[in-house]
Amino acid sequence: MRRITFLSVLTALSSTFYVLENLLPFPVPFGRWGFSNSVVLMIASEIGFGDALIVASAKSILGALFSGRFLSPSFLTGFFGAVSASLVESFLARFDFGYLSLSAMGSFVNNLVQLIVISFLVGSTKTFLLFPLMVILGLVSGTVNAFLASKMGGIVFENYSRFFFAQKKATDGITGDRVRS
Amino acid sequence: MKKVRSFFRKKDVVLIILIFVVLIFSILVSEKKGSKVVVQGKDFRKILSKPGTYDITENGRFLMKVEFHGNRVRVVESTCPLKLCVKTGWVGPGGTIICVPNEVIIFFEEKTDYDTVTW
Repeated sequence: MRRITFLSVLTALSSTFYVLENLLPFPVPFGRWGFSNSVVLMIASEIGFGDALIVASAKSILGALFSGRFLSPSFLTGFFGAVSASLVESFLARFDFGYLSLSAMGSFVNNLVQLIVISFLVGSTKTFLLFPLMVILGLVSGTVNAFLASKMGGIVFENYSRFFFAQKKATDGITGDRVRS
Repeated sequence: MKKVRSFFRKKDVVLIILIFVVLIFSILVSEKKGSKVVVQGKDFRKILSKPGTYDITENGRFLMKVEFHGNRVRVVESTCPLKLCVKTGWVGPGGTIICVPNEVIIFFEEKTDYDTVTW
């Protein structure tokens, strides 16, 4: 039960990011911040493969429902991109890599899969002319997301971990010790 | 207490260099993938696909000399009075050279099937 609660809190956080990041403009017209991927990155890095897959697909579907883009081309590209990025990130997380390279590889694969899906939808391979631009933008936003994810992982798993994973009752210790770990 | 993965490790450099190598490679490939230049005249149409210098003639009359250099093009000399096409200089993909007296338009042929892409 605790796992379901935890995953649904993170899914809610991620799909909220997905909707709210539309309000925050990216400096370059083509790009997006992709803050919601930082939650997926954190889960892929700290928990594992299955949970990252669940949250990645759930946040794509929920975010698309909330922003009214369900089953549109941008939903399809985002969905497949997020799922494949979570697979790659959780695979690389088994080795001793840091957040930065996980995020960079995730955004790289995300962009690659998005371009493949777009070229299927459009029916031409000319879309791969955009590939270098997308990789550069993905590196920029991927670095920001890696920073967010490492901070978030620190908050969720180190400082406040008793909030989610406590076996003892919270009132055991001194009052106010609940969140100080 | 579980230790959280660190933001940066030395191994990260390898993966990021790998991404940069793929990036530079893809940029090189997309630059080399030859764009074609179309020289559109009043009643002729010549497509330049290989680099080199070409003489443009119309019905046997010499009009201009065009130099094509892979991904840029210029008019070396022309018979028109004001030489505006020569003064335009090098033009890359997306640019055009127009010579009004000779009624010649030089442009890159880069057709895409879509107007914009959003995601």
